[in-house]
Amino acid sequence: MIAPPQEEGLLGSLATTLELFLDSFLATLVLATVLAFLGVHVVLRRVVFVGVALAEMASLGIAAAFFAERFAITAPGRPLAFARDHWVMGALMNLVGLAFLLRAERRYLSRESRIAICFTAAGALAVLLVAGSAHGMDEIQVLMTGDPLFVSHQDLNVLFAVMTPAVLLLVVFFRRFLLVAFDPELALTLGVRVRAWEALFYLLLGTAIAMSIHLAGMLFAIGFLVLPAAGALSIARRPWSIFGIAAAIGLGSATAGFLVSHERDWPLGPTTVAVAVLAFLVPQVWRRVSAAVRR
Amino acid sequence: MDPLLRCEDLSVGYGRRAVASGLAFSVPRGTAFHIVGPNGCGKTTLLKTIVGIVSPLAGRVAWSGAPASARPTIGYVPQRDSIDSIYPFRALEVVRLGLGADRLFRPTLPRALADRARSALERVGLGHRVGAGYSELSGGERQRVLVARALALEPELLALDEPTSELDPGSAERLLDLIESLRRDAKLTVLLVSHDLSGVARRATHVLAMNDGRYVVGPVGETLTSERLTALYGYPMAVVRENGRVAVVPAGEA
Repeated sequence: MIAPPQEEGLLGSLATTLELFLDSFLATLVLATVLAFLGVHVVLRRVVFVGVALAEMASLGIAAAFFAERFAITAPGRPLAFARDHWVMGALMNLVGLAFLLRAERRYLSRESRIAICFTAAGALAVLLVAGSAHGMDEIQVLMTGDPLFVSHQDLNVLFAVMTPAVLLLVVFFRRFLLVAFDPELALTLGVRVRAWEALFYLLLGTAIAMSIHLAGMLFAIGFLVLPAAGALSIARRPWSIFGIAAAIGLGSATAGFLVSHERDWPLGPTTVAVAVLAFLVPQVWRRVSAAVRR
Repeated sequence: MDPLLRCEDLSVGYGRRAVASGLAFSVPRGTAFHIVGPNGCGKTTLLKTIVGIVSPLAGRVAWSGAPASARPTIGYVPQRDSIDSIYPFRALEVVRLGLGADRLFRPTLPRALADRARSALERVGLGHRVGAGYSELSGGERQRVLVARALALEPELLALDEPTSELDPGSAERLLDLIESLRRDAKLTVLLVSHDLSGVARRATHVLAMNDGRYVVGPVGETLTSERLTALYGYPMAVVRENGRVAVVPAGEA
């Protein structure tokens, strides 16, 4: 929650809040925009539940990091120190999840079954891993709703270091990612290495989800993966514009969510997601009303 | 005739299961080479192997004496239902999608290639539908968009997988006429999988008929005979020629 300082005007208090929480604000913007851009691929490829399962796997990774804090062998400077790093563990578990989810379908184990197995196993294990700790329930809540308000400057630096190349790849190879997603058979006839491009896409997706869960929680990650993309698809009709509008909805929702959270003293993560829900609903309502008026 | 490609002791299938083995034949340049056979005989798998979608289980596809990596540009037209209509693309964008695949670092399409996409749509008679949503087009129009997408690549080989399977007879005939005229005008080689034996008899120059590990291949007049079709499908079939027209019908109705 962002409590507005007393005895200042709204703008003054906002400026103070921004000064105090600039890192959080920037991290929220970056995550929301990148997730919204990736989300268009996720929605169009009909792999939303793969995204949800990956989010759960990232949560398991973070729960494992909480769990690892109990052991001296993971102390800073020790060989397994990385096991305490939330986003590294989240990314690692995402790789495990991807290896399981993207295997070729077998007669007895469909993609849907794998997603369900991945989701439930990761969810149950995550709860069990943190259940024994003194702050178990708090940690579960952090995983679920998160709070991007407490992003540190170091977190922000890591976020920029990871997301900048990811965004560059997505933009520079925009047409290639689109071709591979829309018609992989055509891509193969053109000599494109479809499996390698698919692996790269899911690697970027898994990394973005792991970082989002670590910094902002599962609600934020899933919300911004789906809502801006679904909103953009309902109003745009050309590839670049769909991705651009989705990114703009993500950016706008995160900014507006930050302002509302500041003004109403609401938790930042759920507030930004609620604004994204509104951003999704407004064009739907507008379309229906304008269609009714035209009739 | 100069062959565009040669299949050399080719085995095709999925996983470790071969659906057709020991295939050895050439596809002459500029021909209408049709592949026929009962369901499950491996027609589509063979086509997908030739165009590079499926890897061969054994043997190889050789292109004009060059190594397999130096294959020519291929325009591939899938069965219509393989394209997901959730993508809100306009007809023009579907055609543009396959262009510039070799320009890895260009997020947008150069103007010359964009113009080529528009002109391909005009060639298939959809110049007036460039801005229409792909999912809003009729089945015949969608299939023509996919043909335009293949043509925009300026291919040497046009490979089509049952392009008329979901079309009404009128739309199917118009599409096949269009492909035949493109083959003649642009000197394309056409490789087409089909269940429409009468259409094959009328339009193919060469036929590969396959079933249950056996196959015959050659010029259409020699390959598409009543005896061979009867053996191929396990049901009496007759090739009927009358007033310069040809049709393939069940023998009881001939």
